[in-house]
Amino acid sequence: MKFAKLLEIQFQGYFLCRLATDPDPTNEQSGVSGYTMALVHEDPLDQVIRTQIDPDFAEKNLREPAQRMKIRVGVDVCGVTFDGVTSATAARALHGAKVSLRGKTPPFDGPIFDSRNNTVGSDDNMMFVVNPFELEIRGEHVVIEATDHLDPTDPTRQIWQIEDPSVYSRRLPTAFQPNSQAAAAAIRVFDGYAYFRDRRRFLEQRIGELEAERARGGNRAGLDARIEAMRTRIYQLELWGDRVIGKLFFQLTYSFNINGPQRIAGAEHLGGEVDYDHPWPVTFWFGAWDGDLLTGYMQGTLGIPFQPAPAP
Amino acid sequence: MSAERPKPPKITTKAQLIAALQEASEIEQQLMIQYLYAAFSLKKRPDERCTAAQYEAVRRWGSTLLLVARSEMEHLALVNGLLSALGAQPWFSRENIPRQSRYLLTRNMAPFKAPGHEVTPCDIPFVFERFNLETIQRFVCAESPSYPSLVQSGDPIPWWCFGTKERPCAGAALAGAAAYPPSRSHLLPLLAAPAAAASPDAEGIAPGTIQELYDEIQAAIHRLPAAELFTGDPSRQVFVPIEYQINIFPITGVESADVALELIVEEGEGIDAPPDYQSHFRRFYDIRTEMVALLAADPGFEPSLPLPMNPSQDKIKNEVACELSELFNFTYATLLFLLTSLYRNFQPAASQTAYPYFSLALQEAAFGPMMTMLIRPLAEVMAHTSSGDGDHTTGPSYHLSPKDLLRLEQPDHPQLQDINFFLDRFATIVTMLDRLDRTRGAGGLAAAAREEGDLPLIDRQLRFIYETATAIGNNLRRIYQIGELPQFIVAPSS
Repeated sequence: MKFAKLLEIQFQGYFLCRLATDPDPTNEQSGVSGYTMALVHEDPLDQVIRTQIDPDFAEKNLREPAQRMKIRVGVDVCGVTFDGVTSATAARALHGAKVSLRGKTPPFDGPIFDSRNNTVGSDDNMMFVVNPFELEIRGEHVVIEATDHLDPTDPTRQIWQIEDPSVYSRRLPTAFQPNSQAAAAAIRVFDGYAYFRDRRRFLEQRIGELEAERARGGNRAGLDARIEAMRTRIYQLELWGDRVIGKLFFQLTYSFNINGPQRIAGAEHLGGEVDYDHPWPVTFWFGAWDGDLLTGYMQGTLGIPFQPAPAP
Repeated sequence: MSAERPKPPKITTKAQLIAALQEASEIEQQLMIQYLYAAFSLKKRPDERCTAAQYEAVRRWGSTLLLVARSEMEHLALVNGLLSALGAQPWFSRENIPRQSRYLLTRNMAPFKAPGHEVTPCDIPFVFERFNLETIQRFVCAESPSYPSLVQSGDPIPWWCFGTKERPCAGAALAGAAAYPPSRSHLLPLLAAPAAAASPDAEGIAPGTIQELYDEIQAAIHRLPAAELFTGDPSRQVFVPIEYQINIFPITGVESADVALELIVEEGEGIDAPPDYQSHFRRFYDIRTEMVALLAADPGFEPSLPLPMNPSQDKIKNEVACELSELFNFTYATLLFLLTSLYRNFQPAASQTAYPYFSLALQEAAFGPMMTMLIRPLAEVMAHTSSGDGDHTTGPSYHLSPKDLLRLEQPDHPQLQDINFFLDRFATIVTMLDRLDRTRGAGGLAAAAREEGDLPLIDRQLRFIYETATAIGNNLRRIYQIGELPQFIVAPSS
């Protein structure tokens, strides 16, 4: 079957990525010479793009003041349309569905922004491959899965083994916006300098509070570590300045037709017939990157060739 | 030692100027690798002698050391840019360490008269030493402005860098237990008659400090006719856009040469810098201050791994460590060959429109890929690998063999213009890594790790380095054949 019209599933939300940044090597776990680091009480930097996190992970790795800022890490479905018009049945079925990126690329335990310091991608040009790309949209009754292969002729090949990078050039960003209105609007921040000035003031205030707690006889070793961690955050903001601030409004757009397996469990809840035989187009952007919190925003659309069931 | 030293003679010929720049290039590279050695020795996690709070300070020190090392790379690049502007060959050769640089040798620096006493700069050797108080104090001294400059600027005086009659230089603390061989000079033989150059007093006739060397280079550029000096092709200047605090810009004449030289001394010693400028000297001084405070609060604090002083491959007993040491030096030499060829053959990317894309291939391999993804991770793996002597882990010696040095001093050699030379070297790197990867796969790394907790780092890193080296070699070939790869082309703005 060939359906031209698409059921479009829109999704958006904050993601978290504990990545190393140049000039640290890609797989740096502590963070030394780039502007990102794993603070002593956090998990190591693992480069993984997380569109969903559990409370324990958030407790350990989502830095303050993210909670106070009401930043909730979670990319969710926010709308479903068919041929541009809201599809009530499908929207009901996918209401609140969670969007995840699955899979792993060894030695990393999940999908990453892959470049290997200007080897398979480019840090300088923000040309990262989201690797691997295994999309999952999980609602209460519907689970949609779609996998794209870097090299469809040999899905087992790792990116570093591919001698001709034009094989996966479709997986590179199609557009890069350093100053995106969409990114700014997504996070409701329009003045990057003020944003990070406030962050710095917050960190200094917290250092003062923790020092007072230490003076009152709190756990010295733990408080010392937290104070020093905050000092390191301030050090990074001071050292890198515009490099951090400038990332707040960037938008990196990807767009390709998914070339691998496509599955839907519970498809009957969508209210129509799905075309599994032809590639599903996906477009998404990552951006609005807060290099101190290690969070950013993702927005995208998965298109599924579809034919609604006739009305009863 | 005499109380006064004759003012060094001026550089009056282009050949002398080129020789002086070669000396400057060697100093910048030697400083850089000492800073890298110390940086790579820093711990990557807290342990029983480094609390979580102390580790945050260690991390910041590592960040600063690597920043300063990058800055020295920038200086090395700018000096080579100057050589290129003069139509001279690039110079990435240097002597091996340990070495006593002539520019940090007391007898080449006049003592200074301070009220009430005479202040004498101490000998500062070039050595490889793990990060500790002695090391950071030595780095402060290496970057310190002269005593009169310090007094004039109001900067803190690093008293351990200067001796007085009441408090002589702490020889052993700064210079190590042994005297080190003196550095060679490219300039001296050109300044003096051959007979005089052989005399020990000849040392006193050349610029005595690094600051003096750069001052004299700058003066010579203004003194000598510009049309005779700047004979290099200005369109062939290596250019790297400003990022990560590095500024490598084209040098095409007196004005841009001035900017480069003033940048070098401002960033290093803070000469003519704005108040409170974070020069290398100030950054190191602040680290030293923080370290002293931490040690006072906790004398057991240890920020670094037990790397040996002045490592040498023949002292390594552990087989894996020995292989790593050999691999590191081979890889580092490959990088220097690559940079030599790049600076000799550079063409802007936009002007490379047809096969062979030689310059582009070298450029895309040299910086992020080789420096960040091969050199540094290898050094970090070594720092966590037991050397087999019972006391130390393994330090990279950055050793250049006589064959390496000969090749570096012949940038025109046909090998350095041939992509196959570089591809062969990458194939060797991958073969050596493959051998180590098999040892890893067979569980042979456990005996090599410093301690059990280091095994995951070594295991993970070696595999990753192998993969990346394979990809870099592949890119080198592909770019040479077809030009820029898709990932290096900027995506359009939406």
